[in-house]
Amino acid sequence: MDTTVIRPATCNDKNGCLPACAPLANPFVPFQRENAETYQAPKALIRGTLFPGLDLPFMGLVNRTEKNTPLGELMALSFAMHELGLYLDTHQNDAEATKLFQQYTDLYEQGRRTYEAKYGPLQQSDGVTDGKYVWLQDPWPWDYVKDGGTK
Amino acid sequence: MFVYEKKLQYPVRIAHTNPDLATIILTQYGGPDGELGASLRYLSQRYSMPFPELKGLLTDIGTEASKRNPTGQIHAKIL
Repeated sequence: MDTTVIRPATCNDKNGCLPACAPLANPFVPFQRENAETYQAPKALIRGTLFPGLDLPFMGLVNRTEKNTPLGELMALSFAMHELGLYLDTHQNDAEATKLFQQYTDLYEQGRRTYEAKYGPLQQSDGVTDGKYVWLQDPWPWDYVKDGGTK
Repeated sequence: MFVYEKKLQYPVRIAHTNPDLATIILTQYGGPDGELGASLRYLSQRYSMPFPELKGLLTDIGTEASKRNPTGQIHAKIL
């Protein structure tokens, strides 16, 4: 099979690669190309994807409200990190994406430590503060009933 | 092997209870094509996967599916 791919100049982020001379009667999925545009982390979290090219809202229902809380920021960083991880699984030689992944992991670690210092542990391994086991303290993620939702 | 983080992946805000909707959501979470079953299948299929990219992909997708505990939480809250 000829493995050259078609990449016309008009291709933008919403398009991917397909084989130039594909076997008959076989379905192909356009493969995401390198150096794709990415959303900022908070927008990525509410749109459900890091890549504008993959942002295909179900029935056009677009989620616009960004959550500007400390935990919301952490959720956004964590989400961006995992999206990049998924992308890098199939594009391990994308240097830009690797750099971005490193940045997000560093930001997330920093954010996590700041958050934990203020609000309590997020992982059991950080469950000790001043010699006391505080891991069991409320609230747990399903306990936020006061304003009807999470922090 | 997993680490539990005391936070949801995405914020959840429930205004009203709705037991009928809870039944539907439970089928998304448990159920025949539910996330729980799917995530276990993803994670098990890694063991016979010869390609490293796909080992990584199955791991990450299986992990993502395991983060669907917001679905379970929504279910508990709207009962």
